Amino acid sequence: MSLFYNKERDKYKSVFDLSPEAIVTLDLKGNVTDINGRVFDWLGFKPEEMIGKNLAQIPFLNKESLIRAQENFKKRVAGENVPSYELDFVTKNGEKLVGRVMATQITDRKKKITGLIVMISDITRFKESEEALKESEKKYRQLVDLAQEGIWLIDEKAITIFVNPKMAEILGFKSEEMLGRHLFSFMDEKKVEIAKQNIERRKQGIKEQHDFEFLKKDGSTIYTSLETSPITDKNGKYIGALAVVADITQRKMMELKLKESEERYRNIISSSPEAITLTDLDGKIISCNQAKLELHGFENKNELIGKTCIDFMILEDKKKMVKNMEKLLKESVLKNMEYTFLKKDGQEFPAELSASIIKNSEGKPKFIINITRDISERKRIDRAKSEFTSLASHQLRTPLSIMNWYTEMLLKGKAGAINKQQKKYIKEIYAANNNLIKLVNMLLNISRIDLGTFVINPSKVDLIKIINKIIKDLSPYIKEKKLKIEKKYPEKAFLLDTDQNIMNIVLQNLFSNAIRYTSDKGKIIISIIRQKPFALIEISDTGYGIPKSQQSQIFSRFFRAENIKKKDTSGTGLGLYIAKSVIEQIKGELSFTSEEDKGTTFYVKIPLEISIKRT
Amino acid sequence: MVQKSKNRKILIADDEESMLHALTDTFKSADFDVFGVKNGEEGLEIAFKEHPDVILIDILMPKMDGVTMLKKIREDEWGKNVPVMILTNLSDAEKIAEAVEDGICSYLIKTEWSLEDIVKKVKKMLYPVK
Repeated sequence: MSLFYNKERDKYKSVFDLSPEAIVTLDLKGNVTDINGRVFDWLGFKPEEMIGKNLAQIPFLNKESLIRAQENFKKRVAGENVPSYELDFVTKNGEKLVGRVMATQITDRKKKITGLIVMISDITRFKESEEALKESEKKYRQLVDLAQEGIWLIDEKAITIFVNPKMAEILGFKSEEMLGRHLFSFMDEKKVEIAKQNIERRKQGIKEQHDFEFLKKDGSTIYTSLETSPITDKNGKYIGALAVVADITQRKMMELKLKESEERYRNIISSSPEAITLTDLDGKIISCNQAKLELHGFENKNELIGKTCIDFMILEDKKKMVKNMEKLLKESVLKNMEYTFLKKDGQEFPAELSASIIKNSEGKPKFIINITRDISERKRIDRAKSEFTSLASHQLRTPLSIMNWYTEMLLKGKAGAINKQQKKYIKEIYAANNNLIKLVNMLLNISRIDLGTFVINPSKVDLIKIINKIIKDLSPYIKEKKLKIEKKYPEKAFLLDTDQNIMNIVLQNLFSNAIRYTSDKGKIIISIIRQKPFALIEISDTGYGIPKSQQSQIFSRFFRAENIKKKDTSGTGLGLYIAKSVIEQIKGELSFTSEEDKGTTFYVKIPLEISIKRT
Repeated sequence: MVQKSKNRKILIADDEESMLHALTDTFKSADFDVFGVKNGEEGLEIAFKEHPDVILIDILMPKMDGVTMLKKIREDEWGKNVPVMILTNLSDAEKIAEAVEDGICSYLIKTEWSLEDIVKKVKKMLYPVK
């Protein structure tokens, strides 16, 4: 029965009953001697269900809690100081309740412990929110821990108070190694001043993104990008800063490399001896190098920037330039276009320009880069060469025609009768002379082609007549080699409006080649067909053919294929070069197909009507 | 008394001695009355004096070149219609084109023509095919 029951109970009863906390009194055996209303309110047990019963008998504690309560009870009763602790209670309804338990000793006048008065605070809600907070904190901690970026917290003294694993990883540390260290200890001393300024800005409440170089644990530099913000307490006072840090070393390295590379190219262009200009797609100059300035006699880049290349050209060439620009945009590259440019002082000079389109990473044309070369010297030399060739040809021809005519007169007996042997010898001279004349003619043609002074004289030409004459002239060789000539003409006469001289040059060359490079008893087929607006002539032989590896060079000057060089050491290698060049003068085409040891077919395509005016 | 020859008259102008000789010899054998001169000035003199039936002119000559001589002949009333042939070894396209334009004359390149063929051609010019 209750041990504690004295007159002063009334005084304390109100306190006891009205306390917001649950109060249970226990005797030294652990039996409940009294409970207040709260106990019933919270746990659902009526006084009669608890008073007089031992702790162990009341089903308001689970096993663990009971053991703990008993332990603490024993200690308390023994006089030990037991701080408040938590206990899991079970209400009569079976619900869970977490209580904070605080036990005070009850002593008699003699200071002997007679029991305990136990105060229980319901901290269930608190516990729940504590749990929730823990959960939430766990979630955030996870976020922070697993973040791909570094998170770094410093206090108001710039001491590291928190780093997530990523942050430590970025700097090559373990998290523990970073905690407690000053921010400035993670950087090169040269950077400290900047960092100080940054902290100042944080203190002013400024949040911003900036790049920074830190030092890793191993002493190497790391480039980072930081998103920083100040942390304030609820009074707005600065208490530290937070930074979300990303490792941008790779990006930085690429930027540096790009910068280096760009500088390298810039140097190449600026120091290049060639005049290089960068323009937009309209030809407006964006930049140019020193060589370009010198080419035009300017001193300052600003005299060129913003202007177009057309501004530095003579009037007559401006149209050409516009046309070429259009062509360039279509073809992306245009080489060796000749223009007459102007220097700053108005002096004209011939120049050669090559340009190409620069596209961006998506393949869209953005700029034009061009190289311009002063070709005055080259032109002068060309002109001198051509004049020399022309004059030399004339000087060469004069004695040649004299030799021709005088051997002719000798052969005719004009200087007296000649015997058989004399005739033979003179004929040798005559033949050799004619060969020389042919060669000089070829050189003359080349020089005229080079100079662009090759004259075209259109007239009504009968191809068949020309071909027949050529075959007639070459008949001695045809007979000697016993070659068979097959003619495939659709008409009796094949008339067209073209240059007779050019037809002669081309057909003579092709025929003599066919005859020369076909072995005895071979066959040559000539055919002409009208394929408006062209005439197509085919000359095919069953000769030595042209080796595949040499075919690309067949129209080059002085080129003779290896296989015929061995068989025939004479031959200038100029015939086809001239034939192709002159055919192109009248906008015709010359091509071939060939197989070594089988034969060759040449295709001549000529416009039926010359579209070039008589020069 | 000057007997009027029934031969055709030909004036040949060429500063190259050997060429002139070869041409004059050949045309003499072809029954022409030949007048040979070594420069354009002399050529004009003879042309206006003798009124040849055909004239052969070389381009490159001292004192007056062939093209100038030809132009001056054409300026003359008689000279407008006389057949002229330019014989040259020059590949000077402009000069030849200048002269050949509008059928002022015909031309041929010396190295490509035998003397025999030149005579044939001249005869053709004088006696067109019936």
